[in-house]
Amino acid sequence: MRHERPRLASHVLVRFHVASGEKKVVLHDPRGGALLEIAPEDWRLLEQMDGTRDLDALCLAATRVDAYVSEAEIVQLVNELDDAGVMVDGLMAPAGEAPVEVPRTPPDRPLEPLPSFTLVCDGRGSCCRFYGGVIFRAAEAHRARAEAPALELGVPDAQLFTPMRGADAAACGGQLAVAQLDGRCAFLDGAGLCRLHALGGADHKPLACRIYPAAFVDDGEAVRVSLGPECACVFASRGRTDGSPLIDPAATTAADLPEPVITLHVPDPVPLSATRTATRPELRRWSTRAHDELRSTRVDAAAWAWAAAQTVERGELGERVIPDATEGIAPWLDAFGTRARRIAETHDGWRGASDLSRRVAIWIADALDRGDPYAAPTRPDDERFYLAALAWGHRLAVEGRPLAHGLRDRATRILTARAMATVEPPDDAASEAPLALVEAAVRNLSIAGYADDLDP
Amino acid sequence: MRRVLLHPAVDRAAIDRAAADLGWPLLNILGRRDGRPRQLVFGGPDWLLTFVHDHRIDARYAVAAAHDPEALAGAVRASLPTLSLEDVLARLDEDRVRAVCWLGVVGPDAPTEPIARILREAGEHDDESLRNAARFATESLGWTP
Repeated sequence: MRHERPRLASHVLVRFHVASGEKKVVLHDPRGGALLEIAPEDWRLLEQMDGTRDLDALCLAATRVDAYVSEAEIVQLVNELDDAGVMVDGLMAPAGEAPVEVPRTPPDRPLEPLPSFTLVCDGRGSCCRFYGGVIFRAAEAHRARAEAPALELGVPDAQLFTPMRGADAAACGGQLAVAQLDGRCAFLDGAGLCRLHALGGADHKPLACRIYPAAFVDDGEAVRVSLGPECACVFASRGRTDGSPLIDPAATTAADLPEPVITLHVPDPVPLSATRTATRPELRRWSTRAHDELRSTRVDAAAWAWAAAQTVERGELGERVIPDATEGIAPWLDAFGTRARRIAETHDGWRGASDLSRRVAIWIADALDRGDPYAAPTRPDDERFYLAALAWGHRLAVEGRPLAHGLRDRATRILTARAMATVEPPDDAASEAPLALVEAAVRNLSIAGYADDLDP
Repeated sequence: MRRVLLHPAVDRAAIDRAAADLGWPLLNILGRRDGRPRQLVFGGPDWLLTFVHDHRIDARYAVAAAHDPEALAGAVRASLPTLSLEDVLARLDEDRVRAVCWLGVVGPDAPTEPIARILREAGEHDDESLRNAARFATESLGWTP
């Protein structure tokens, strides 16, 4: 065995899937891109590899969980996973002191929700069928686990949850990812409704589901409350006033938010390009102006984003964006298509036929092969709203890449969605909003980073 | 208690296969330390089967402890290649030191000829390694004078 005390690297995502009736555990390395499928029995072995046990101790630990077959099998598993680059040796090093002060949101920071938006959920559960990790906190998982036997989920209790990252739930704050049945959250019923919700009301669901699709970004003056435009409901809600607000209308400051809500922080200074930065107040002004402009004019959203990237790169945050052609976007579309094709091929091998993620990956790859990304937009208002919502929430400034990159990336996603509208969609209600599926796919299928070497 | 000398070709994988086939639950693994040989312990509520990888005599052997140890030893013999007393005696000419050591594993519970004579001769031999082998075997057999 190559590691004396092996441990699954803590960034690896482990997810339990039932695909077309077959139980499997999938390991995803978001850094290297490796996707590995192992048997549930091997996962029970892997869980014992906590970085403290040598081979003998692993044999004994495996015996205790009734997973011991042979020493050779343990060695083989460790070596195979090591070949894939997902194993490390020993305990996780204790985190040192942060090199810079960790930003904190003061409780009196005001909240600024996305203007004129309420969410009308269609109750079809599309968002519950797409994410590789529907996250439960420890207490939520305990409650759900207690109720699971009565719900007859089709997933063994021991496999209902896996740690959000790595093999040790404690190392990721006790957060757990729920098992998936053909890509759906295990708690989603056949009619697209949440069984936990049905059992005890909305408060019975994990917090992550209750606040979805709201997103919180602290820009130093306020916490912008926007949304992840990853669900058809978001677009169907545009212009409606009869839905639910993104946050409780009585909530006015950060102190009013549910305690464990994750608030992202706009970096200071804000990277605009590889060589240029802006202050956070400058970004606030840019975001507000972009939002207002996109919700009040009838520009072509892709052309606007592409042109905005150029003005941002020049440091002209105060300039009005004049949308032009998306000249030069072809390499971005090629890169997006290449990544999507690779993912479609990989996921085709292990996801079930009805799995929405698999079908969307194939749809995107097919659209960028045969479709027309330069076709006239069929849903231009949705596209503008998409950009406006992202701008309001400073979302393009908190993704670890310069703002100009985020704008070009979003132009690419919009054209990808237009291409999808020109080819046959999968027979699924979620197909009505291809842009939402592209947005969700980038996050869920690890497409982000496809264009990291394309910045000027 | 019964001891069964395993054929030199038997390795850990073969023991694991036999354990899986016969349903022996692994209870403990004692690493080699301070002269103590490495031991793999399988067992149940009223039996223990310890596979000893004895570096001192270059051999693996099983120690069966149970209400009926012979039955347990028989299960080992049926599932793994082993060496009998006769096999070890046959090796005396080609590798005398090792064979004398191994007599300490497969020898009888009480002094019996020709084993007693072989051990006595080895214990008085000019070759120190042979004398040490005889001492090991005698102590291992636990023959009382």
